[in-house]
Amino acid sequence: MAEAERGKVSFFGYVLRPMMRTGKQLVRSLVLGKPNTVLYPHQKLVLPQVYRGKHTLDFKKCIGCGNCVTICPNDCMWLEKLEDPELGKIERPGVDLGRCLFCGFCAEVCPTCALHMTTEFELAGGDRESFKLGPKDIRDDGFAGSFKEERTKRAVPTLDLSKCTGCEKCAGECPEMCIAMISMDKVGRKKPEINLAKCSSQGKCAAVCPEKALTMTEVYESYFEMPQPKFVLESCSGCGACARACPAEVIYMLEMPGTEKTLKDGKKGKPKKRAVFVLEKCVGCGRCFKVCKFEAIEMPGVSK
Amino acid sequence: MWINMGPQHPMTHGLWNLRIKVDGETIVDAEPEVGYLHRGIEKICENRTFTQVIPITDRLCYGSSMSWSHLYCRSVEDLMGLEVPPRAQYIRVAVLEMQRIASHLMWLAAYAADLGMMAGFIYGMRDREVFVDLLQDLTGSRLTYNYPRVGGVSHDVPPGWDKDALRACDYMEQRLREYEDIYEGSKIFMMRNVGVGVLKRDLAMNLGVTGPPMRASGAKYDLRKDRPYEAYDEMDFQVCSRTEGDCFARYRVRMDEMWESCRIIRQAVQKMPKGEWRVVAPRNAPAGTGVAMVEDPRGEGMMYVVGDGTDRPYRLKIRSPIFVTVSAAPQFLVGYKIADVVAIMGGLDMCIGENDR
Repeated sequence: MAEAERGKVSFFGYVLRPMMRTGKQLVRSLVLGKPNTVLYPHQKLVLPQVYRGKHTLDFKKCIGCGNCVTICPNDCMWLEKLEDPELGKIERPGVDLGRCLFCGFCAEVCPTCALHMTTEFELAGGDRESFKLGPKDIRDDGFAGSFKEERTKRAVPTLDLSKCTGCEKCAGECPEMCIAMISMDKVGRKKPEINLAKCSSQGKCAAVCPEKALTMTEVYESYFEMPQPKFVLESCSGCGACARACPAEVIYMLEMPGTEKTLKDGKKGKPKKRAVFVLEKCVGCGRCFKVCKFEAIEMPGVSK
Repeated sequence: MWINMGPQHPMTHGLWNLRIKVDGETIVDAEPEVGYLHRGIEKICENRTFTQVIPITDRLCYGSSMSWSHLYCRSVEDLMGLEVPPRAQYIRVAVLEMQRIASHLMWLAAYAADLGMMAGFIYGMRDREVFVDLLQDLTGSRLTYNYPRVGGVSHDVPPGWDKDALRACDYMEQRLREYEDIYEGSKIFMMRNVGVGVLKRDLAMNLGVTGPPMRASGAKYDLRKDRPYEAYDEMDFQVCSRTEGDCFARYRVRMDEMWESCRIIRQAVQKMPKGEWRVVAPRNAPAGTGVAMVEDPRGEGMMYVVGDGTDRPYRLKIRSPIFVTVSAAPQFLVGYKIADVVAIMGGLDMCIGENDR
């Protein structure tokens, strides 16, 4: 209350009122033993689970897509090629803590929840090189899922085109009407395309499929919209580089009817292999786009 | 005689220079100089994606980073035409009010230290810790939260957090009574505040001063009430204003705002609906413009974002409330003594990070 509202304050009022308040605090901290500080190296505060400290990486869950490298605002992550006795030739991210701003986007964007941030905050070092942590320095295969809460998983139908006959049963069964049959150019048959935004993961399409071409796969829900590759069938030469480069096993090569060369004697030869995308599993890393030499894959918003 | 107060002076919270022209002890002219902390944030934002800009807008103001990243997310949501889920709106209201209390407490602590009252400084920083801890439990960081996202907030509130928030409000209201005794019970504090640095209502409106300095001059202007955003139109609170326009009125407006913030946090936490807290934002924004205005702890903040169809903003304009307030410094200062400069400029709650950008 203002002085005018409270009325005239005597000299003792000006002295005693603040003294009473500070005296209470003095008694509380000295006599009752409730100080407001902690003796840092001996006592430590309990940090919440969501605290963003040093990174940790689960090598077995990580697929090496490099989304963490792409989203990092400070360019402080990089992918390193490794030779692991268990996992073979792999690529895993490293982090430069000297440039990291601990925003946590890398852990948030990780499509397999392999990258997490621990509560370790004592990260001071002597020289700049000591902040550069390679993949092996941040490796902890048991961490993911044991301490931090993981994002929810969602089952999405994925299509194996080699088995699909284009019978349209899945489109008729879908309760959300999210499966559309689109005709494939030059192949002369239809394939189901699933609108994941409307899909409610009930699995009816997979249950009704007579050839078991549709199966339900669990993927982590992502809150980031990633760029998706667009495939140009005419330009594809069937080299298979994209299928080898894809970290999420989205692309596989399939002999596509309608691509046969007409031989000299009028007969048709063997059908050629073409890349097929299971975009439901795609993590949007853009590797297929970068590796394709024939400009058969377009990726809007990503530069080579 | 011109006197440089700053760039390194205990009065200048941050890095800025106030040049004052004195005749004896009386100030006849003043000239604020800013720009020592210019980092080119508006330009940096132009070559980051919309997501990557959020941690940078956190760095605009060290006192209230939540309100600035929230403001950025609102402007991009306006550009993209996104609707935020109701639960995210309530979470945002709760964290914004916590940030307002933490920011006002930091101002109160620094103000007390400016006026030579060390007990006020220690007490203010102690109680700011309660709200910083609360925000840390929620967001994972103490100063640069990186919590709002385009289309919601980054994650849901942890279990038990709502009870902690209610307890913190109870604690804060006890402490506010204590502050009123400590500050207003101090004769020196009252002598240095009452009747010092008067800014008239018409002048405040003409100069574009917003926030607590304007409300202390008698204008009842609060964007939370006048142009409600998020879930503020469902909250029951009052716009705090005084008519004197002096340093004491500005102090009083901020104290009253902390009382009102406690009320808003209680309502937001108790009324919080269940459901989604985030929608997936599109990667590319359409060509067009988006604008958002919020009531920052320091005044009216505005961001104007231009999209050109790509995943990066073409232009981001930041309107800083403190830039306007510090430009009006001569009107506050002329006619008072040198000893009043610290009280007047300290009472404006300067934050140079957003000012120089």
